[in-house]
Amino acid sequence: MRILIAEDDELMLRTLEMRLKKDGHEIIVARDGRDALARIHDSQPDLVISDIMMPYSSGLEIVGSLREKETYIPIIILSGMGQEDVVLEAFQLGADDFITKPFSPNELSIRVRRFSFSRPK
Amino acid sequence: MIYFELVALSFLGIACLIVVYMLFHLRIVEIQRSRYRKWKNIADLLVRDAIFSEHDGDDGLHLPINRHTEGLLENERFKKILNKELLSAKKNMSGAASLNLKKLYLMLQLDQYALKNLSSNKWHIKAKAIQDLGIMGLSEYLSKIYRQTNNRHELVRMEAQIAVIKLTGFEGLRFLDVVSYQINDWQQIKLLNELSLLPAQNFKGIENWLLSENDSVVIFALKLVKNFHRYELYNQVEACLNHSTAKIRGMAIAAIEKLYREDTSKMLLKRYLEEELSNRIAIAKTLQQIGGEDDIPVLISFLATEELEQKRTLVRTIATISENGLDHLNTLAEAGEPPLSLIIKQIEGELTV
Repeated sequence: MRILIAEDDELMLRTLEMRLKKDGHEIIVARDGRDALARIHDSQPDLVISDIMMPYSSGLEIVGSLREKETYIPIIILSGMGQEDVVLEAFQLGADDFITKPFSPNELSIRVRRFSFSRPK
Repeated sequence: MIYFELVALSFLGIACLIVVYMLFHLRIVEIQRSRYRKWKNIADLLVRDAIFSEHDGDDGLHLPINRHTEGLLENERFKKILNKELLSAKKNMSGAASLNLKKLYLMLQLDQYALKNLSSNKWHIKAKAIQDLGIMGLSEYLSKIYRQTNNRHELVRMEAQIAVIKLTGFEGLRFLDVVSYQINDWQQIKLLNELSLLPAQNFKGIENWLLSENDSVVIFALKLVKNFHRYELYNQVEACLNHSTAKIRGMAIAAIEKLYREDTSKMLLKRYLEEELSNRIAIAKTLQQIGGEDDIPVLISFLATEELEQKRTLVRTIATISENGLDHLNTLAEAGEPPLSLIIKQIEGELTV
């Protein structure tokens, strides 16, 4: 599966990239919201994993922008503790799942696998 | 003429010196930046290795640390970078990955580095050390951190109070038994946020904190009662309505809204006229949530006040607690005259929106 990870924390980004590459996925990284939107447009990923708080465009803006497009791309939101309201807003905008930080890389791996099973062949 | 040439040469000389200095300085900055990037990459790699050794399954952490990295660990700057990366990762990871990060922290003896900083005379170094130990969940240092919960420096105290909650959960709140300094509003928000991340628990101690001589402890205890819906403490909260400090009485009004009984609105209305303005408004707002139609006559009697904010809140309360609230207001003799007529119209407009 081709996965785009949008995360401004370099260490977190590299960790997620490493974990998902280990699972055999092709990874595209973006370090801010604007970069993520451009890369989504260029590379058409099968899944987007996005942090909420990012420079230029937030995770919510990414969700909103993706849901305006004709092609459906599932989105997993990475949220911090105590961001329940934002997560709710993300769901209302069309996010498919969320993971609250702190989380285990294994948990993310399992959530991603769920999307790879439900992906149309 | 010679004088002019000398001045021009001096200026040229100084300009050359400035340019050379700037080039030298930029080179140094570039070297430092490149070294920082290199060290950050080494630190990131170590942290990532620790995160992904979660499948090892044994108690120890086996990471290949080469001689170069070992040497770097002696370097204060590298230690700071590594410490920062480890803590940042620890905040974002849970499960086995989080445990491994803690093991790496201990293996690299960064806990000793934090302990050394904990003894520093500089408050910001001390506060950072407490924060680090709290994030890493090193409960073995609890007693050292606990001592700082009543430190004379506000920010050290704040970090220590947050850290003891991180390390021991609700049990950590026992610092409220002894804290003699005021806990400011911001710190109270931070503490409540930290507590909201913990699984709900019927913790002990609130009844004692409600009697504390430290006003901020009483206010915080009332917030705990409110946030955790401690219905069994209704009488103690009601007693706080008689406190000599107006701010505590105001908080008690807010807390009792969450614990209300059938007679709570009547009890609050009895106190209304004895209270100061902000608490009168707080009572009127509370009644918007817990009041009923039978409270309307008393609320109408309070409308005689000249104070507009109070009048407006009372009108809003009367209009919201009953479907007939606005009808009651419109039948009043003063309802046709400003300012009441204008207030009623405004609230009516707001409610229809």
